[in-house]
Order: sequence, then structure tokens, then C-alpha cells
Amino acid sequence: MRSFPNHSLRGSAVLLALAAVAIATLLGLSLAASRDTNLATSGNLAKAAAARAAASGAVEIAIEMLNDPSTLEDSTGVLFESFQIGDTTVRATALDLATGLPAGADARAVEIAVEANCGGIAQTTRAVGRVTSPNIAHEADLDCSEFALLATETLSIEGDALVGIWKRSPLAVLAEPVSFGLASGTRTGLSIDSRASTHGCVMLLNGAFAGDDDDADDDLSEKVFLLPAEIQVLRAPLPPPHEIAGKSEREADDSDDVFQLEGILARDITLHGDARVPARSSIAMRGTQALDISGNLHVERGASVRVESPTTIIVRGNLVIDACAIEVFPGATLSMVVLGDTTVDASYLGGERSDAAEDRDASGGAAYDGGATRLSIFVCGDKRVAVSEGSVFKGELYAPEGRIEIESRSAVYGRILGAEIRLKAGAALFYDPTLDTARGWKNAESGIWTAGGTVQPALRQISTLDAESLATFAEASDVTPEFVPILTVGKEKSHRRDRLRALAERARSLLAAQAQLRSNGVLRFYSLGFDTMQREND
Amino acid sequence: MTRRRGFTLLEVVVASALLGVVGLATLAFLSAFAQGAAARSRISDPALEGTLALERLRALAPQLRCTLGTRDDLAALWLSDNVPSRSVHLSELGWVRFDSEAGDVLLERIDPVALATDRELETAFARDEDFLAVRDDALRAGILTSAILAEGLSGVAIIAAKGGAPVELQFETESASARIALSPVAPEEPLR
Repeated sequence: MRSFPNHSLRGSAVLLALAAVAIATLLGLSLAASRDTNLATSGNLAKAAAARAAASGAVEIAIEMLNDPSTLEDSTGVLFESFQIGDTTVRATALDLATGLPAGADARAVEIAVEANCGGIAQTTRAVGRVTSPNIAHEADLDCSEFALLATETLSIEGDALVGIWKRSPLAVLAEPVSFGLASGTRTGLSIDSRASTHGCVMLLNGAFAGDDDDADDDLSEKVFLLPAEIQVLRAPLPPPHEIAGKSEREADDSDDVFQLEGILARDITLHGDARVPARSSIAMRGTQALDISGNLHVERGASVRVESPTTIIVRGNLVIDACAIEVFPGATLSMVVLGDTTVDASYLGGERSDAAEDRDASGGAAYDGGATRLSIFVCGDKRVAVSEGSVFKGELYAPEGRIEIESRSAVYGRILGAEIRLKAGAALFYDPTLDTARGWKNAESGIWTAGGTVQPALRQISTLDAESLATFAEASDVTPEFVPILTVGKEKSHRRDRLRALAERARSLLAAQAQLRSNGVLRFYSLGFDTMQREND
Repeated sequence: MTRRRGFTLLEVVVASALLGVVGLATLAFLSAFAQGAAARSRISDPALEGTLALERLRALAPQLRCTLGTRDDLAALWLSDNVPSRSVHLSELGWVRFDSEAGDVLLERIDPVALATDRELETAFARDEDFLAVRDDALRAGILTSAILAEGLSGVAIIAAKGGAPVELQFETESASARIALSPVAPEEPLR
């Protein structure tokens, strides 16, 4: 029988050889492609340099645009886009630093972000700065919130106590110094331990305003801030006389009643007697505008108070907050007016905590959670305020006649104003720069100062930070002050609201009248440099 | 019954030879790639390496102010004035150092966690402080962190500023060298 060769196996060697040659070809091509790495890197670097130069120029253009405040009216935050500089396309946006939203006409500090793209290589540069109101000469902020620590009599920073900036504040990137000192502008009554940490702080002293940036730098290097006059610290606003108004509100006999606050509070309440939030209980203030207590208020150990709407609590006796938490939710504010002593022990007071695990962080790293603007405590008269036992207070403490002591690893995130202030060893104050509206004593152009560099005479005529005094000041000086809205129960409420409304209207009309001055706006920007986002074919 | 015929001797020899040649070529290519990857990091243009190192430094320290002191393998930098004072603070210092053993250029800074933990660590310095010695102290205290700016270099020399010329870094590879200016275009010196 004839046999035939197995044809299916023949030619395998050729196929193998072809496959090997194909692999070798691919390898060869890859090698060839990889040999121009350095060339590609050089090209990328050149494009990055071009993009960076264009971004830097575009930032200057954006700053010029913001010198005209009308740029931000009805703004979506985009200053310009698809703008060609050479071979680079740039896009500039402005964000309100305080809110993180596109900057609008009311933005006081903005971040300009410029994205430049050159041949696929992107560079981003940012600049931050304050936007000076064109109407600044007719605006004033009189609550001294631009100072982290301000005392009218004595200020003592003891042991290893710390005064610094709240680094989580969105305006901390402005890298502005933190100010502290005595309202008199002297060193008498000022005591700072050699172990105390005041890095990045300047001391308030009497002297002429810095004439230019060089003078300001010299003052900063000397760690001083010079003001040409003594600061007039206004007394805390006194609430109207306590009274039970109407049957619809909770009322009590003239007795030693102690009212228990629990559950949800959803309306204005006036209590005649003491009040307590029982230990480990929880209350939510939802729709309560004012809670007026004629006696003491004791928030007991383990209690939780949630404030969910703008609220004022008036405590005509002593306020004791003991190992508990008072949290102010987004969109809400809490103003407490205290006529007696205030004691805060081992407690948390501030914005709603975004991190439920965060208890009391006195290291300076506490979450921002709305900052220090949600909570204010006003103390009327010569009373004592003690924050102790590792408490954290995120807010403003305003006690111009009070004696304030922060002690035992407690921290205030915000600011403190008092007659006598003692920051004891281990305590800390972290200033929130969003409190500085740039309309206060530190701004030589604000309505507090006359063109001649002296204090508005009308300001010397008032003594209290209440709506009536501020209205008097506004009428006499043609300057619109910022208001501290404190709602109160009773007949005066509507009257004060009307006054506030009228003054707000006056502010609006002043702004309109000053529209012609907009071109005079002055911006100071601080470059944050570049974030390199280029690809590197290394 | 069908008799299966195998490959001829010639076919097997030719196929083996081809496979051997292609295999050797493949090995050679792979070896070349492996060597090339390592070599490119060592034999690449030092000017590019230097430029890339400065790009990384700009990204890490976008507000670099000035050079505070140098020695052969170390330069002290004032990275920013984040503690607003127009003076140098520990948290604002950085050091560019050449690690000759690894062939790396490093940016060393104070560990921010250490600064947050110990509030007394932060220090304000006078402008005539020995900032190179400060780095040695920080190293001994174990509070330095580092980031790589460039790697695979055979040598880097730090050339001190002379007569208005900026501080320069000389990057050296096995085949070439290049100098890159380290100081910012408009240095801002501490006031105190």
C-alpha cells in the first residue's frame, strides 16, 4: 500500500519563524518609539513654561477685572474662558473664599483660579485676596471682630498657651497675621509668658497706620500692628426688660420654678425662673427665635442641644454648660446674651460636627463646620466667664466688661473680647479670619476713621453695641455699621426689627449712591504660585 | 495502516536555528529594554533632570522666597511666609539635599504632624541663623520628611551665590552635567 506524508504538519517551522519575526518587529518599533523620550520631555517642558507664563499673565488680567466690582455682579464665577494668549488657551474663575461658591457682588475675599492649556499641557495658578468694597468709607464694623484677643484692661497669655490662626478656615490661605492686644494700644496690662506661642501674631500698639506695603512689612517683622487711636469697645447689647407677654407664651408664677427643657422647641418662649436641660436629654430648637429665661440656665452633663434655626437665648442669671454639646446646624445661628456668670466645662459649643467622632479637639485641627460665625455669646456687665476642662468653643465671646478665663486644655476657635482675659497654660485660641470683615478698626479706609485719620466723632458718642446706638451713629456719621442681630421676645421686637430693616435699606441706598466710585476699588492679591499638572515622560 | 512521516533532519535543523536566532534576538531586545530603562534615568540629559527637579520644587513649594544658606550637598530654603511675620519659622524651612548613595535630590521639610503635636516646636529664627545646622538638629530629632526631586544622578553640586549670581545646582550624570539656578527670580529675604 502506498503511504502519503502527513501534510498537516508541514510548514510549521515557517509559521513559527513568521511569528517570531513579527514579535521582533514589534519590539523593534517599540524601541524606536521610545528613543525620543527626552525629546518629548523637552517639548512638554517648553509647553509647560508657555502655559505657566500665560497663566501668570491671565491672573493679572483677572485682578484688573476685579478692580471693577461690577465684574462680580450677576457673575457665574467665570471671568473669561477660551481666551488665547499665544498658543495657550486660558480660563479664569473667581470663587468666594468664604463660601466656596462662585464669587458674587458680596464676596469679600476671592480666589482666582486660572487654567492654561498649551498643546495638552495644563498649568493652573491661583491667587487669593480681599476685595475692598468701593463703599468702604461709608461702612463700619464696630464689634472688633478683626481682633483675635482684645482686652480693655488686662490680657495675660500664660505658660504654653497658644494664639494662632484656625488653619481650617477658608480664609486662612490669605496668611494674614492674627491681632491681639489691649484696646488702649499700650503694653500696660499685657503679660505674655516666654513659653507662650504667638507665632504669626501681631500686637496692637499705638502709632501711625502703615503708609505703604513696605511699612506694613516692617511692622509685621516687628510683630506689631499700629493704630493711631484707642479702640472704643462698645458694651454688649442689653436685652429688653423681662416680661411675660401674652397668654400664648409659657408663663409662670413669681416663684423659684425650675423649668425643664426637653424635646423640640418650636416657638418663642419666656420663662420666669430657672431652666435646665436635664442630664443626657436632648432638645432641638427648631423655629424658636427667642428663649428668654429670667433666672439661671443649666445644661446638664451629657445633654445635647441642637439649634436648627436662627435663635437668641437670653439668660438673665448664670449660664452653666456642663459636659455636653451645643451644636448649631447649617443655616442657623445662636446668640446667647448672658447677664450673669458663664461656665463652660468639658463641653462642645459650635457648628454641627461633620465628624461625629470628633469630640473636643484643642489641637487646632478641629473641623471647620461653619466656623465661628454661627455662635456668639454676649456677656453683659462685670461678670465671670470660664471655659475649662478641655472644652471647645467655636464662636465669638463678647464680654467687654467681663473677666474671661480659658483654661485646662480648652480651646476657642473664633475670638475673645473681654475686660480681663487670661489664656492659661495649655489653653489655645485659634482665630477664624472670616470674622474679619475688613470694615473695622484695622482698616484705615473704613468708616470708623475720618479722612484726617481720626476716629469718627459720632462713634465717641455711643457706648453700646445695640441697634439704637448704631442707628444713632449711622445718622450722625453717614456711615452704615454692621449689625448684631439679636432677636428678643416682647414688644420691642417688632420695633427693633423695623429699625434694622430701615437701616438695611439705608445701607442699600448708600451702596447705590457710591456706585460711581466702583472704579476706585483696590485689591491686594497674594500669589499662591502654580500647581504643576503636566505629564512627564520620564 | 498509515505510516506517519516525521520532519526531515534538515527541517528540524533549520527550524531550531531560526528559533535560536529569534530567541537570542528577543532576549537581546528585552535585555536592552531593561538596561535602557535604568540607563535612561542615569544617562538622560542632566539639563532636563534639573529642569524637572525645579518643576517639582515649584509644585511642592509654590511660594519659595529665597535661599538661606548652602554647603556642597545641601541648600537651606525659605519656602514661604505661611506664619505671617516676614521672618523665618521652622515650619517654613526646607532643605534641598543630594543623597550621594541613592543618587537622589531630595526636598526635606519638617513633619507637619510633629509641629501639630508639639506646639513648642515652632520657632522663629533671626535671619543670620545657621539654617544648615537647624536641619541637622531636625534630623537628630527625627522630625524630617523628604520628597524626591530627581533621581539617578551620579553627582550634584550646590554652588553658592557669588556677586549677585543665584545659588545653582550642578546636575551630573555619567556623560554630562548642567547647571540650574535654584533661587527664585525675585527672592524675598527675611526682614529679621
